[in-house]
Order: sequence, then structure tokens, then C-alpha cells
Amino acid sequence: MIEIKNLHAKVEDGDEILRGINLTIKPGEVHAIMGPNGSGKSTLAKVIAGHPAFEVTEGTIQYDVNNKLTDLLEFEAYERAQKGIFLGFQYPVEIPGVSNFGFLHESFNEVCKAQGVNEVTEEEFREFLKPKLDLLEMNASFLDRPVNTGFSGGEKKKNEILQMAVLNPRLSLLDETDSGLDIDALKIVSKGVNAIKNKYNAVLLVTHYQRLLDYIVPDYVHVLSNGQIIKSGGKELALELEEKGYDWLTKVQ
Amino acid sequence: MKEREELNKNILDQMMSLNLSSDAQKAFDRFKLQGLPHKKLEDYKYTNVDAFFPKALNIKAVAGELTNDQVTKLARGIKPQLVLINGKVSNEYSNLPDGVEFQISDSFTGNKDFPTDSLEDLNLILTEQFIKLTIKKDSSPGIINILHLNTAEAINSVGASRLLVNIEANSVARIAEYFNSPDQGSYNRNHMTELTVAKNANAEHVKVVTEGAESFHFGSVKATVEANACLHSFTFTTGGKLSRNNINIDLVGAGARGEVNGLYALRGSQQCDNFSHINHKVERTESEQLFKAVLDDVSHGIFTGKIIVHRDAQLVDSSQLNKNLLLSKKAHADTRPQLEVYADDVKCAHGATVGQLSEEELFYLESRAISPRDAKIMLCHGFVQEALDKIKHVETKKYLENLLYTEYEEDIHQRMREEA
Amino acid sequence: MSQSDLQGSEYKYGFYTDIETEDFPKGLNEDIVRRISAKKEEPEWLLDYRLKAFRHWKTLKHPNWAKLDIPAIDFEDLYYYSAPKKKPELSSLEEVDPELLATFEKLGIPLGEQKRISGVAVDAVFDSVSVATTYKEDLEKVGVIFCSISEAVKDHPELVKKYLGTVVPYTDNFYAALNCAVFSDGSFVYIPKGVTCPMDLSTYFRINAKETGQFERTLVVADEGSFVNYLEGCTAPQRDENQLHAAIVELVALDDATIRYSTVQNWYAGDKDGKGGIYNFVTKRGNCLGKNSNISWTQVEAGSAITWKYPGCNLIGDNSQGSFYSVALTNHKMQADTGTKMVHIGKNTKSTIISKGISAEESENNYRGLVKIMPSADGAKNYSQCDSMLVGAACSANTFPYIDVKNNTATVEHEASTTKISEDQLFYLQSRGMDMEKCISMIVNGFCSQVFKELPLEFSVEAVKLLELKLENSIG
Repeated sequence: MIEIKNLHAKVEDGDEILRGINLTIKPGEVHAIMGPNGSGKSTLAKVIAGHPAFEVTEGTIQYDVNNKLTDLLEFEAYERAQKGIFLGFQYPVEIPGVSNFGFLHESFNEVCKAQGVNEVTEEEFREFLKPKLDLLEMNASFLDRPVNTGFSGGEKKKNEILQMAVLNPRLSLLDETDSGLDIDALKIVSKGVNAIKNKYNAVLLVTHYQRLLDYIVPDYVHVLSNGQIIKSGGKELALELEEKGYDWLTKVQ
Repeated sequence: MKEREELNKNILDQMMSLNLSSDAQKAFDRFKLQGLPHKKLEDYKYTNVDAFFPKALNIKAVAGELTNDQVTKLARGIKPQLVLINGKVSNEYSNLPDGVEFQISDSFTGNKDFPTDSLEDLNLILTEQFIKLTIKKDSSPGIINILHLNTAEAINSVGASRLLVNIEANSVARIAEYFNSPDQGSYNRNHMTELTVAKNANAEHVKVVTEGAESFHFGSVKATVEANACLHSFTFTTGGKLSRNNINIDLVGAGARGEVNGLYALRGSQQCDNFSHINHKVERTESEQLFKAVLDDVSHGIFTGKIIVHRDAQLVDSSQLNKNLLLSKKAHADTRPQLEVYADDVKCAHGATVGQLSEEELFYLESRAISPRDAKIMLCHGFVQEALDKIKHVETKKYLENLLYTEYEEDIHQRMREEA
Repeated sequence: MSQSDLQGSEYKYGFYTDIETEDFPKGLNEDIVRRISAKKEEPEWLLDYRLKAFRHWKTLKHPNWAKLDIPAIDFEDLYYYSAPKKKPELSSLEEVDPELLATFEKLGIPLGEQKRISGVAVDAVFDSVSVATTYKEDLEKVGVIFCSISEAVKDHPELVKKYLGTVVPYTDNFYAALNCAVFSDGSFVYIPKGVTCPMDLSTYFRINAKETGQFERTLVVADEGSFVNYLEGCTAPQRDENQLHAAIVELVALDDATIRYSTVQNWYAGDKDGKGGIYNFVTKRGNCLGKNSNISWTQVEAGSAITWKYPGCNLIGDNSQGSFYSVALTNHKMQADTGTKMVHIGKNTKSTIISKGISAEESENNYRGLVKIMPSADGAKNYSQCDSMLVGAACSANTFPYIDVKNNTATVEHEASTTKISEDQLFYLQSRGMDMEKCISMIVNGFCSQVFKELPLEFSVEAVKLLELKLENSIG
């Protein structure tokens, strides 16, 4: 599905943050990226999604659309989203004045349009949303509030997963989705992600703690440090990290 | 300086022939001393009104008529309860609901204690019809739409009008005033609205300025709000070459609340100067303000928000926010929040921002498959919607959304298409 | 405790030094201006400059736009020059009048070789003249010039002529014009290219004489890539009459240079009834002339009967930065109208404003600030935060920010709040065993911490003590 080779990226006029990332994700897989603060975890997710604040200086991201490889770096953020890349934000942005429903509807129709599917009317979309809301145990009144404005931390994260459920992406990049969640909210969010997950799509979890991985079980765990993947392994690696911390890995470096 | 003196002399000369009531005479004496406002006055620091008072300006009321079709067209789907043409009530359209008392007198009946600036003095001197509405105690008469229309005859003249609304105890009042003209020539409007909101009343006043492209709109809203009463004021400006909106709210009874909001969306070389002044005169009064500006081309948006918490007005809660969105390189925003606090147990906050659309918000939308162009439009909508959502009366709000999202925004869409 | 004891404990610098001085007669005219210039053996250009400023000043009216109640000042009833009599040439500190050395020692600023504060070079200004500068030689070794402005006029005329009046022109305002005409002394600093000044520089201002205006002038020039930390302290005797202090401070930072200028202002503020105290009317401004230059103003304003002061920055060089960190505390009947002016001219210029006002008793404390983004300032950013705290029901706190943006790529954010110390906070601290005074000082210190952390350590300690002392008697 996605093949990242020797990826280097830096902040515009700033320091290099990613220093040669190699990562391949196949359909049906769940990967977890772990690492200490400042290791470049969030940057990796943002670079894949096309955040304009980062500049890719070297390397490639090949993305597989219907068995055809395309160079993801050629596309802008919205085009990547239309092609099925989804970024779940660590800090979902508050947009006062824009209704959550209008936003979701527009977003959904844009993806439909790009993928050659018919757009839906407001009524149809409201119907379509119902089971998704139920899945995340969200009240329909959420839809009429402004995007993320005045939402609690847990509500914001649920809203991210609701968007994921609506857009049905091929590759979901979930950036610290567990941060700021109490245990109940974490369970609901995880239930949502697990329900959306299937053999055709893939998930990349970016997280600092092992906690999330009890609920969304990864096939692979990668440890990122100083802009490079320094260790990869199965889900047991996460437990080892939980126990020993990151030091034993980063000190070897 | 010399030119100013000539301007003032011209106005004073014309005033000599007016037949003034004793209140108007007092206003005249003040005007004689002060003359027209100028940039050296702190309250008029950003606005030069001289250009709108040319030597040939006629300060006397002019007659004029509009056809039914013209009125309907200018009403844009609004059903007016009262129509003023060149500052005079047109009997044909008066259609006030039950629970509202209507009076016209030829002398001033409002609050004499309000301090005034010289354009407000001018209003008192020049107004011929003093309109008074009374919203009866305990009543809830529904929306009162008032159209203020000018005719071609009003060009190069000052049209003064004045409305006093007494909102009696326990009543619910919804008032919307629309300022418009079929003619794009340069006219000079001077309108004052005075509101008294009695105990437990709930009032909303929406002012819609869509004046002609060459006009000068001067408008002043002065209100006193009594105990446990609430006033929602909204000032909407997309018209006029220059507009100055004074909004002066006195919260005089414990539990009184003032919500003072506004939106100004300007293009070309338009200038709009909003000057709000809220007096927390007694304890336990609250005020909340949100003014938003969308500034395009070489337009100039100004906001001054003065909040005064008087001595011993404890437990006051006051907040104010002015946000400016600059759409073009040469748009210009001035913002001046002023807080004067003379009581110690209060909670006051104000804020102001000036900038472009947020990069973070744009990226968030783009990461959800929305194109940059649509993301910009969506965020612009969101920006103004937050202000419009402060309007309580649903039809009035819908009307303004429609006005903004069709007429005003078509141009922006057009330009974005051209840029793309 | 008697009334005078109380006052004494509150203002410990209120003593008066009986020293023989040379004064010019009262009043201001061209002759006085010429005499000041002659006394200081100034070159022709400087006399011309003074006269031009004086003639301009005569055309000006006293400013009244600040929210201050300034009693009429009789400019004819003031001495414009007062200097301790001394030997014509001083070859070393030992020759300074011992009475003067004792005065500064009492103020906590020992100047003698043995006792002077380590790591800080001090220029001590007593009424109209600079009496001593410490560590001069050490500084000279790295090329740093630190001397009185009178000496600089003689020894480094090219530098003074190049920069004097370029940041604050004599036409700037009423008190700037007055200062330009009659300034007596002050400090001059030049940091050469690439030099990080090896120690903090400091000027200590002392007003001693009666009915004398103090008009000092400070000029700091930081050449390319240099760095300097500059500290300023002020005290005056406790007198029943008001005294006038009208200074100008000009800072110039060239490419990649940084100037950090900190002030702890503790002029005598008058007594409980508002009698006496200094009128502090000061014009302070910095030009961030070079690209990547940086000027920061940090001030703790705790004294003066009336303060009228807006240290600002003209951000001219691309990527230059200006900051303003201020704590202004007023009590008794003090009045303060202070803030800053940030003018963004260069591209990607940044400014930060953090202002904390505390008003107690019957005082009036105003923040007044201007943020101006010129059309040329692409990508400019400003963040301002102005918070006020009220202690007592008879004081007032006002905020008057002016924001003027003429470039749409700029981002300007302003936040302000006014609150009183919450009952909950007080109760919480009291329930942990602290008395009222301790609670309040703790809350106030927390309120001001953003500013205090910008001060050099010794200054920060002094500032905290100063606020505690001032608030002690204000809390009822």
C-alpha cells in the first residue's frame, strides 16, 4: 500500500527532523510507531499527509492506488486525502462558525467526487451518519456544533474517528489518538478503529504509550529515535518498551 | 484648518434659519463650540468626516418619493412595519403590530442626560420628525422591521432622523433597522436610535447598513438597560463609502446585560468605524462583545471598544473580542480595545486579533479532501458565521446570511476563480 | 509605630546628602542652554543641536493625552544644572568626594575598588553629572566603551554625532525636546563588532538636589554581532516638593546585535496623601536597525508620583525582534501611564509585549501601547498580553492598546484581563498556614513571574523585595 524509502524532511528553514525513514505497509496491516518525545513520530504522519510546514529533502513515498504506484509527494494535502490518506490529528483544530455537519458533508462529497462515486444530499448523508455516530456513542447534536469548538478532549478524538469512519480511508495515520483520553473514551475510540479496519485498508498508529496497543493490536511496532527507525519488531516490542523505557535503545545509538 | 472653519461656518449659516426647540438650541450651542469632529479628537482619531460635508451640502430635509416597486426591491424580501423615506415616515407602509404604540412629535423626547458628540448634536438640530415606539408592558409583538430609504433628491444633503423605542417591563422586543438607497450618489445620513429597556425586558436591535457606494452613514445607538433586562445589539455593515456606528450602552440596574456584536465586511476603498462604549454603572452587570471584520482591497476597518466599570460596580463580568480578517495586501485594520476599571471585584477581558486565515485550519480542511479554494471559502463563512450566530431573530439572521453569502461573496468567489 | 517610621520603612532611600553643589540660576532660557553647553566644553554642533531643540520646545504645549492628572509645572522655577563641586580632573575613584562615595554605598552601590559589585560595571549619576564609572579599564581591554555621555562627546565625538538623536529626534515630544536642550549627563555605551560584553553594565541614577530637574541622556550602540546586558536603577530623597525627571534613552542595535535593557525604577513616590515625589517623564526607544537585531526592554516601575513612559522599538531590520516586559505597581496616590510602542517596518519582524499592572489604594495604573504594522512588514508577528490586578476598591486600572495593521501577512494577537486576587486563592494559601501578607506577595509574584524571569538575577531579587515592601502597607 505504501512504501517509504530513505525519507528526509525538515521544517522550512529549520532543522532536519526525519533522517532516512524506511517503512513499508501492506493492506490489512496495523503498524505502530513509538518513540520518545521529539523523535519525529508526529512529523512522519504529517509528512505523509502533506503538511505544508515540512519540506521533503530526500527520499520517496510510493503509494499504491489500484495496483498502480504513484509518487505521493507530488500531491497536495487535499489530493492525498481524496486518494484515501487520513490523518487523525493529535490536536484537532477548532474551527468556530463552521458546522461539523457541513464540514463532514463537504469532505465526504469531495472524496466521492474524486473517486468517481455519486455525491449525496444532506438528507442521505444524515442517514449515512447515524450508524457511525452509534458506533462511536456520539449524540447527533454533535453535528450541529462548530467543528471541534468547545469539545472536550475525548469528544475531539471521537470526532476524528467519526471522520475516519465517514471517509473510509485506505491508509489511516492516527497521531497520538490516545492522548488525553480516559479509559472509557479510549475503549470507544479503539472499538471504532477496529470496526473500520479490514483486510483492504491499513492503519499507522503514532503513540508514546503502550496503553493504546492493548486495544488496537499492531502487527508491527517500530521505534523512532532522532528521525530514524532504530528497531522494529512485533507487538511484544511495545511491552518491552513499556517495561524498560526508551533509554536502552537510544543509548546504544 | 481653514477649510474646516469654512465647512463649519457653512453648516452654522444654514442652521440660523432653522426654528429650534430649546433642546435643539442647546445642541446648536454645543455644535457652535466644537464644530464637526476631526482626527485630533481621540474618539475620531481614524475617521475624517470633512470630505462628506462639502460646501454645497444642504442640511435641510428634502422631500422625495419612491414607487412601490422600488420599495419592494430595496426591501429584498423583508416585510417592513415602518418605512421612512428621506427621514420622514411614509404612511403607506405603516403596519405596526398590536402591543406597539406609535407616535410622531416635532420635538425631542429622549434621554437628555446622554453625553453627545457633535454629529449627535447635529442629529438633534436637524431632525424634524421624532418617532417614538412603545413596546407595551408584558407584550411580545414580534419583529418590527424599519426601512430607512433615501431618494435621489437626498444627494448632497444631510438627512437626519431619530427613533426612540421604549421597551417596557417584561416585554420582548425585536427591532431591525435597514439603511438603503436606490441611488448610488453621495448623500449623508444621520440617524439615531435610542432604546430604553425596562426591568426584565428582553430586546434585540439589529442595524443593517447597506447604504449606497458614495454615501456617508452616521448612526448612533444609545441604550439604557435596567435591572435584569437584556439588550442584544448587532451592527452589520457592508455599505456606504464611510460609515461611523456609535453604540453606547448604559447598564443601570443590577443584573442588566448587554450583548453588543457586529460584523463589517468591506471592499474597495470603504471605511467603517465602529465605536462602542459600554458603561457598567452598577454592580452585577454583564457585557459581552464580538466584532468581526472581513477587509478586502484597500478598505479600512476600525473598532474601538470602550468599557468603563464605574466605582463600586462590583461583580461585573465583561468580555470583548475584535477579530479582523485581512483578505488583501492593502487592507487596513485599526483596533483599539479600551478598558477602564474603577471597581476591584470584577472580571474583565478583552482581546483582538488581526491576520489572515489560519494555516492550521486550512491544512485541517485540506487533510479532509477539501480543495484549498473551498477550504478558504468555508473558513471565511465560518469566520462571519460566528458573528451572525449572535443574532437571536432567525429571519433577520437568515436575511443577512443570504445577503452576505450571495451578493457580497459572489465577488470574492469570482476573484478566487480568476486567481486560480 | 509612628507615621514617620512607617514611611521610613517603606522608602529606605529617602535620605538626603548634604553636599556642596554648583547650581545655575533657576529658570530656562537660551543663556542657560549655552551655559550648560559651555560648562561641559561641548563642540559647536552639540550647542546648535541644543538650541534647535530649545527653540522647538518653546513652540510646544504640555502634552495632555495621557490619562494622568499632572499639576502645572512651572519650568521657570526649576534649576537645570546642579553638580557636586569637585576637583577639575579626577584621576582615580579615590579622589571622588567621600561624601558621595558614602551616599552610593548607602544605596547599595559601593563604588570603591575594594567593595564594588563584582561582575557589574557601574556608572553613577548624581543629579546632573556622572561621578564615577567602575571597571572602565577592564572593559576597554575588549574595546567596550562605557563612560559618561559628557566624556563620550569629548573622547568619541564621531560615534556620538553619528547616533545621538537618531532614535528619538528632538521633535519627538515635549519632554524629549526639553531633554535635548538641557541634558546634563548620562551614560554612553559602545559595544564593538562581535563582542559579547564581559560583564553587565549599569547606571545608577540619584536625584539629590532640591527643585532641580534631572535630564539625563543614555545612548547605547551595539555594533554587528555584539551583545550587552544593561541595568538601570533610580532613587531620590523623600521631599515634600515634586521633582522633575525627564530622560531620554536611545538604543541602536546593528546586524545580529542584542541589547537587553532592564530598569528597576524606585524614585520617591510621594507620601500617603500624594505629597511630593518624582515626575518621571521619560522617552526610551530602541532602533533595531540591523537584520536579526534584538532589543528587549524589561522594567519594574514601582516609584515616582507620576510615570509617563513608553519604551519602544522601531523594528527596521528584517527578522529583528523587540520585546517589552513590564511590571508597574502603584499605591498611595501614584499615577502611572506606561506601556510600549512597537513599530514593525522590516520583514518577518517580531514583537512580544507582556505587561502586568498592579494598582493599590487610591492609585491609577494605565497600560497604553501601540502596535503598528507598516505595509513593508511582510510576515510580521506581534503578541501582546496585558493583565491588571486591583488591590482595594479606590484604585483604577485601565488598558488602552492601539493596534494598527497595514499588511495582511501580519499576525497580531492581543489579550488583556483585569481581575482581583480571588478569595479562593487567598483562602487556599491561608489554609496552608500563610498569613495575609505572605499570601498576597506570593500571588503577586506569581502574577509577575513572566516579567521577573527576564531580569538578571540580582535585579530580580531586588524587584521582588521592592514589590513586597510596597504592598506591605497597602493591604488593609
